[in-house]
Amino acid sequence: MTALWQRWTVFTGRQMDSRPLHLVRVFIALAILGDLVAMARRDVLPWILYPGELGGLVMHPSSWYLFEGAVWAGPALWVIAGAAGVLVAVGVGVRPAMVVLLLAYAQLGHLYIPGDRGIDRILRTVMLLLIFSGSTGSQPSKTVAAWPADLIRWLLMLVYLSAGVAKFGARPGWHALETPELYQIVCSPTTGRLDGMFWYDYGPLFALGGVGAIVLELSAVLLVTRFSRYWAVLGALLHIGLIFTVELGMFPFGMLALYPVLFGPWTGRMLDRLDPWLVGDWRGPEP
Amino acid sequence: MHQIRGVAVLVVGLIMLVLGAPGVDGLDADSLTSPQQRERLRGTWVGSLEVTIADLNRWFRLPVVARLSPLQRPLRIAQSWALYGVGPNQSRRMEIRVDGRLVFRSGDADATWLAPALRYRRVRPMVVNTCMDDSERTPLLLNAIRNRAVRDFGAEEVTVRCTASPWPGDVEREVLSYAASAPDWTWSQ
Repeated sequence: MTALWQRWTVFTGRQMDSRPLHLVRVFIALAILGDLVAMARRDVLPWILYPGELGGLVMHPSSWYLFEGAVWAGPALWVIAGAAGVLVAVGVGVRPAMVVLLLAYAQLGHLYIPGDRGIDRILRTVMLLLIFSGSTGSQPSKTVAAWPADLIRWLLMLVYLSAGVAKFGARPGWHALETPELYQIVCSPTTGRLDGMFWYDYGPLFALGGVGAIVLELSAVLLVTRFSRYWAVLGALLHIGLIFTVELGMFPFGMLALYPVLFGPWTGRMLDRLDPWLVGDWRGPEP
Repeated sequence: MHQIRGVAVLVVGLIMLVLGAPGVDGLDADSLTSPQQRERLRGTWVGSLEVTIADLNRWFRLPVVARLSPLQRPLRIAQSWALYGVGPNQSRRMEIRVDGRLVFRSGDADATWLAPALRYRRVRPMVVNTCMDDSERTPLLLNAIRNRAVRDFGAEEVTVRCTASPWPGDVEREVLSYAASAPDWTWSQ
């Protein structure tokens, strides 16, 4: 038991190239900033940030919302989250900025509950981990403790496994040859980008894709092994496929934001190739 | 320091596992408790496994979840991840007519007014719930649509209609319709 515990403490204390975690931090901030900008570009800011009396969609904020009754608070939170997101992305005052981003983003979720989705919870969970990691500290470092990357891999394993298991109860089912679930999702007039009439006869193709997605999700246990990077190639293709077939907003981008840690050493090697153009923390650790 | 870090990482990982246990996080205390259900499921080994998992969840996991869940609420980080389990079993559309003219229809490239707003990920759940007659926020969405119609078209009358069709979506029938007109703009269903 003592030997096992010693191995565990060595494992959780081991160092890794800090750049994959830096990339995750930057990509999360960009994903959130993209979503905040989308809110403005799609002209839904007043809907998301104001109560019904002022033409918005906000009704019964959560009991954890700190600014009930203050109509200025919604727009203020949007501005604060945006400003903190910019600081996190450019790497200025990263830890305090990420704390502010996390709190403001959570308050936006508390304000307008139906708009707060799974991807928002995933990104906030990862931000909480990063706040305690060496990658957001005030002293730039080429290497950091690897445990935040391990917990991100653990989180994603649970997310993908849950998504895979959740697909088993569906009717007619992801494997159905006629109108399988994947067809229904990508051809849904409210979200999908594909024409349901045109693709109706291609049910088996979608069944194949759906079964493939389940197999991939159930094999997510590989994320906590050294095969994580190979799994991540297929996972990234899944999310890129979603970008082109379903209008899910931030979801695929937010998930892909976490992939630099899944690609592991490949991320470092890719950055090494860009080394002549990189500065500061982005240059690799000395061999 | 190594010891503290080892304990902290282990505890956080276990909390994530218990709260977001794949396939179990959707089960509540009442899952598979009726004697008829249990008897029927015990006929197969898969059913027996389901009953056992539901019992273990009720006896061991849910009491822990009840204690840990409050920790997730301030930051909205609920660890429950049954994402994208099912597709919509029917092709559902929302249609908006302003003064009799079709200006928006879900998935219709020729009627895209408000499409950027209504397809936005934070608004779309309200569109879906409104068309399933399952949202107390429906009046807020209808009013928001009306305000935009007045702003963009100087509307005198707005009709919001929801249709459903078996796949592929070519046999549509109206399932809901709301209409309001100036000057009082009261919605009638």
